[in-house]
Amino acid sequence: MTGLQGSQTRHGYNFAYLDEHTKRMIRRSILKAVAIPGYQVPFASREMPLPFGWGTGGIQVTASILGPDDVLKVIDQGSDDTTNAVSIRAFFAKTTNVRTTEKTADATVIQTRHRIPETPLQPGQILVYQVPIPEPLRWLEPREAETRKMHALEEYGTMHVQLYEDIAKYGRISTSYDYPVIVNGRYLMRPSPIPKFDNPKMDNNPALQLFGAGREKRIYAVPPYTDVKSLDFDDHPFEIQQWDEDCALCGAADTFLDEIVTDDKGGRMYVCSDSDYCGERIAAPSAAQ
Amino acid sequence: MTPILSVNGLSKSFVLHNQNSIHLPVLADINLIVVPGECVVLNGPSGAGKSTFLRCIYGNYRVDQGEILIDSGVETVDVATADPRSIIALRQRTVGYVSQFLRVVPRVSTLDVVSEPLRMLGVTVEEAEDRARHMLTRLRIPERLWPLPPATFSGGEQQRVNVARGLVVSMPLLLLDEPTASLDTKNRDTVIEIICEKVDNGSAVVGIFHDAEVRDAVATRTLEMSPLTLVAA
Amino acid sequence: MTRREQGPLLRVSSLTKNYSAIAGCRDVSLDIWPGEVLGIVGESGSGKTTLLNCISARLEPTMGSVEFMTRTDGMVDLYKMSEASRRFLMRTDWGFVHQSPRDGLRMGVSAGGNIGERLMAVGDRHYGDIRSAASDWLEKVEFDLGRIDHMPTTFSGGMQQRLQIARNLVNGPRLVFMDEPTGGLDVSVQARLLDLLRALVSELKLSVVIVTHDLAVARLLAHRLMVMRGGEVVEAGLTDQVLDDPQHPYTQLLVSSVLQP
Repeated sequence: MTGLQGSQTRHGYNFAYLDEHTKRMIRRSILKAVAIPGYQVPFASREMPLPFGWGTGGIQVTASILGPDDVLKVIDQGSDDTTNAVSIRAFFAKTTNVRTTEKTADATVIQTRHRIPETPLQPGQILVYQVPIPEPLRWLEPREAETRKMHALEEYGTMHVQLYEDIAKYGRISTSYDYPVIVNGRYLMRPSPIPKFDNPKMDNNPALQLFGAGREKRIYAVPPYTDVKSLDFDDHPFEIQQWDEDCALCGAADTFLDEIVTDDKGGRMYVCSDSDYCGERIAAPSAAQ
Repeated sequence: MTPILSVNGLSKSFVLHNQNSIHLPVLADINLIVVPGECVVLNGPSGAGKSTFLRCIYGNYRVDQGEILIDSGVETVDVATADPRSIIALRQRTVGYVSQFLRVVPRVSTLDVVSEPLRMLGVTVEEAEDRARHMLTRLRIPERLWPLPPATFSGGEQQRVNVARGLVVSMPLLLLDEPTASLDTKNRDTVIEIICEKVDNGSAVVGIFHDAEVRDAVATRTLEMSPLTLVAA
Repeated sequence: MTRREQGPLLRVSSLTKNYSAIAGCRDVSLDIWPGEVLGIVGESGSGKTTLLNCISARLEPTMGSVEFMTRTDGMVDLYKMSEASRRFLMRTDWGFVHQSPRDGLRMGVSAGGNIGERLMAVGDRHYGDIRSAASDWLEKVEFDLGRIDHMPTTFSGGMQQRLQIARNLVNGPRLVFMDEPTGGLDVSVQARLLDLLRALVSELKLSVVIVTHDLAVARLLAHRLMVMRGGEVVEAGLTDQVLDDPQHPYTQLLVSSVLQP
């Protein structure tokens, strides 16, 4: 296999598929985003070899930051082995020849759809989120001009309306994923459809967190060690999901569990959504406590 | 004694722009000075401008010339030239007006209609309603009617509600336009009683009463008015 | 300090708004004092809605100024304020009741949420308190509390309008603008709503600017009246005086045209 360096092309494609000028444009947007934590930076989203709605934003961010020495992990709902994760990982392997891995601890760049790995991240790691709808106020205010003003003027009280409606309808805040947060005490942000279980992991994380929305053409970021606070009410504080069960495979009691139906008689088992974390625990049970 | 009302050289006409701009003079150079404790009755045939005169004093009609000076206790206001807010203030505390007709607001109970002028002055709801009830009782409006809006009452009942509302606040100057019209003898006498009480207490009254008996019972003096001919004065 | 010394709440000076060659409104000046209701009447095309939008900070005038007596900074020119301050003012010290409730409500949010939004927009973060404040206001506007969680799309026009009024009053504004608030409602519903407005205005000592083409509404609610035609104010004064002794030919025409049932 011929190794690809810098701007060498393979079958006519540049390193990581995008041309260098595009990568430069995206990196400028990323820098802006990092400079203003939680602020949505518009960028000129390119056509990618997968349809809008499948992670084109995440892919563009990853493509712009990958270098030949990086190690890439790709997960989809916590899993390295779903179709999307496999396809995206193969895509980058083909266009960059960087090393890929399933181990969170070994990766320098982790692209994720809708989960944060259970293994705590380290300084120097980058987490790239795939975002469908970046604008947290969209449900309340359909006009883009108006939502931009609301962000500019920090008019966020209305976001609590969604939570109010939940409590009025269900007796508690029922939003369980894509739970809105305030970043660095200033910008209201949508963390992408990660379960609210993962929200606390975003707070003061040593890794750099980047968010890409390809169809909506926005990039935003949470720099390392930044405050990320989930919205709540004084009398209805933010709470993460709990399960009565532990992981059926590795016995973990503090991870996000997927419910898997095992037969047609109502049988089900609960298993860690993060396949790598679960695998590590099974392989070295004492070491992974 | 300082007059409560001084009308000097009052002239008023109507111009009906949509009827070929007909010019109708109604009042010409009217003068009147009223001191507290007086009851001045305006005398004259229909068309003499008596109602118009009262409405000018109240600020309901505009004037072409002249002054209408009213002593509010704090200052002297010329109704002919005062700004609307001053006139509103005057109407709350100084000048009361009982028109010939009750203007009916749907859905407001009789008790509320009568107590409203007191509540607007800042009197507590309890006291305002108390005094309203007292007045309504005096004018023989049955208690079962108090929670009802007056829209469905008889003419006489409506007029008594109108009178009650107009007289429930103690005003230094009262303008009364046929307050006893459509009232039976008993109620007419009660209204006379109330008017005399107010005058004895120091209020001044300028009123129109077509009934000679009422006139004689309340008037301290009269002002004769006659219709203007169309020949300019 | 007596009320007279306090100064007007809103001062409009020589306001003009041009739409290319057409004058939306021309050289209008007025003052609004605390606790008074000003009615602006006129027919379609009179400029009354343009005037209302200019003085409520929704439309920048071509010439002239609109000054508001803020709680802490004295008289401030609305169009010289920062946009953030202006928007904050519009949420707290002012209300705007639209003719169509759909323009003044969030149709995808429950009745309680619509009222609560104004509270949450100024920082309230206690669900229980927000809900009870919303309930209090719904009661005040005679709204069925059992429907606090229902969507405005399920309400009648009169209910929607009462909800809009409650939403505008929850933050205790000192000045409320109303654009034909009873237009399009059934007569009996209108009567109830007008009653409610009268009671609220006097109870809360609100200042109100109400635009209407209906003289009966103006007589019922307004202390003072301004008659507009072709973008200009043709007559102004005490409501009962303008309606009982109209001076200007157009005012006389308007008053004489009103049908009495």
